[in-house]
Amino acid sequence: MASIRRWIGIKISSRRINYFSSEVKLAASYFGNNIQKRKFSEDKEQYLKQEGKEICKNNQNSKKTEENAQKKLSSLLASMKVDTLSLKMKSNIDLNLSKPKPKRKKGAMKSHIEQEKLSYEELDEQLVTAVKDVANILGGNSDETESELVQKLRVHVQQTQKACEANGSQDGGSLSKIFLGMKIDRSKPKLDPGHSLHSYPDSKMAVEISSLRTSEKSVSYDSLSVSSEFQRNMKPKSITGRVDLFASEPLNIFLTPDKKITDVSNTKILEILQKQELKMLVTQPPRNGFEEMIQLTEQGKLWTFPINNEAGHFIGLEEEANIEFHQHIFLEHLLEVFPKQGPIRHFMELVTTGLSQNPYLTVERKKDHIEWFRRYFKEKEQILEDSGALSE
Amino acid sequence: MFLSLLVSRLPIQTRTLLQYVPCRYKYPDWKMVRDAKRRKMVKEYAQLRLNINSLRKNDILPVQLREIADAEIAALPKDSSITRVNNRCAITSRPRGNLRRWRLSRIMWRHLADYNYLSGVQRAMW
Repeated sequence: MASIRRWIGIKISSRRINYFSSEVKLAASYFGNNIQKRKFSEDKEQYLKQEGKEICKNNQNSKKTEENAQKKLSSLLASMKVDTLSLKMKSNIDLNLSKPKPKRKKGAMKSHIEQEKLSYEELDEQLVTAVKDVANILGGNSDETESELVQKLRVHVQQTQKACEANGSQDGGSLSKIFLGMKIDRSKPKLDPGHSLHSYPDSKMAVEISSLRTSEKSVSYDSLSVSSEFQRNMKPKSITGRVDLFASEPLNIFLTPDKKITDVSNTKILEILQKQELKMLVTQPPRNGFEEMIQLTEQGKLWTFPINNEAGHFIGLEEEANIEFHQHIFLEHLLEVFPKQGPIRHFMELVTTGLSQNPYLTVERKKDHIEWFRRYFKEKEQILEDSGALSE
Repeated sequence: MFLSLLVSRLPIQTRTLLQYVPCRYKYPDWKMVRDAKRRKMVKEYAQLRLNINSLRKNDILPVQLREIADAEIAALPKDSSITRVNNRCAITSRPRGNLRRWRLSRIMWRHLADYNYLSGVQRAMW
């Protein structure tokens, strides 16, 4: 707009500049060679008149000056080749300025309504009554609303008529006829190996994504969402369908024979890490709290509810359930190692009775106790002999 | 107040700004650390001590044997004795005024009870 104003300004201020200035000539050449003398010439005349007046004032020979002025005028007009840029500009530039909506005057409205009422005959009676009712309900200027509605309905009618003509049938083109020509697309969208739908366990999501991919071509560029566009640009194009490695001739780039790439490393730590990495790739983290709890129960960190006191979460209770009661109680056979009489025997019998009554120890531990005593007494045999315990 | 207590009892390495500073122990006190060591030792020597004590605490076996047993038990490390273990408060490491069931000192117990952190504990009123 500013640039346009500048050009227009040139027109206005052309009185001040020299008509044959280089700038003007350049501008003229830029905007074409069409010359329009009309308005510019008028200004020019005014300017010249002013000039003439000034000249008159200066020179007191009025007649001579007038004659001179006239001569000048004529010569100038003859040789004038200045074009009006502003007018030319206006014709080139189409300014779509915002215009206020044409306010309908009441008089004009009436005539308009009358015209439309004549065309009511095209529409059904039901529609007419409906339009009237709607206009009344809505309020405001009912006539205006009526006319607008009728306009729109007429447009509809025209469209349907056109459609009918195109189809070649007199009936209004029914939906069933439109569907006759159409076929159901039963081709399943091919899942290319590049695009992984495994990350979407829900079938619904997978279907959505596959449908998106198929419909990408049909949908126009503008209607696609920004995210999908971005994704398309970001992801490299994947190969659709199956790839056969040995279909074409080899390039013979690598001369050495095919060696099996083994990721086996010498260090133990790296092996362990590799195994861990594989495990991490396979396992998915729990999606919700329920899955987490399942995992923990499987690991044994969480107890099964309702709590079973004899369950495996208490260490070794499953094994303990298999051991019979007589193994706990009857421990006399273990005393065969000890002397059959004397204080030691007495002592050991007490020990065995105590152990048989103990429900908290495993059979192994009980045996270990007795074994310890046996070893101890063997070590202290000399002392026992000296004291006289063994002899009794 | 709770957190401040915890922080104050932390070893010096962890106390500054609650950053992830490498610290050797996660106990609230160094005394607690020593107590933990003693408990470990007690567990290690428990069976042995039981057997030797059973030899000592009877009048059936000859006296000489019992005396030897006495000497043997005295030779064992001191921290293996259960009497040396002190039931400290789990949060504040307070040596006295502890409740066995909750393993807390009376002060901490009261604090938690007031804020309804102890199940089944209510202010007495009768």
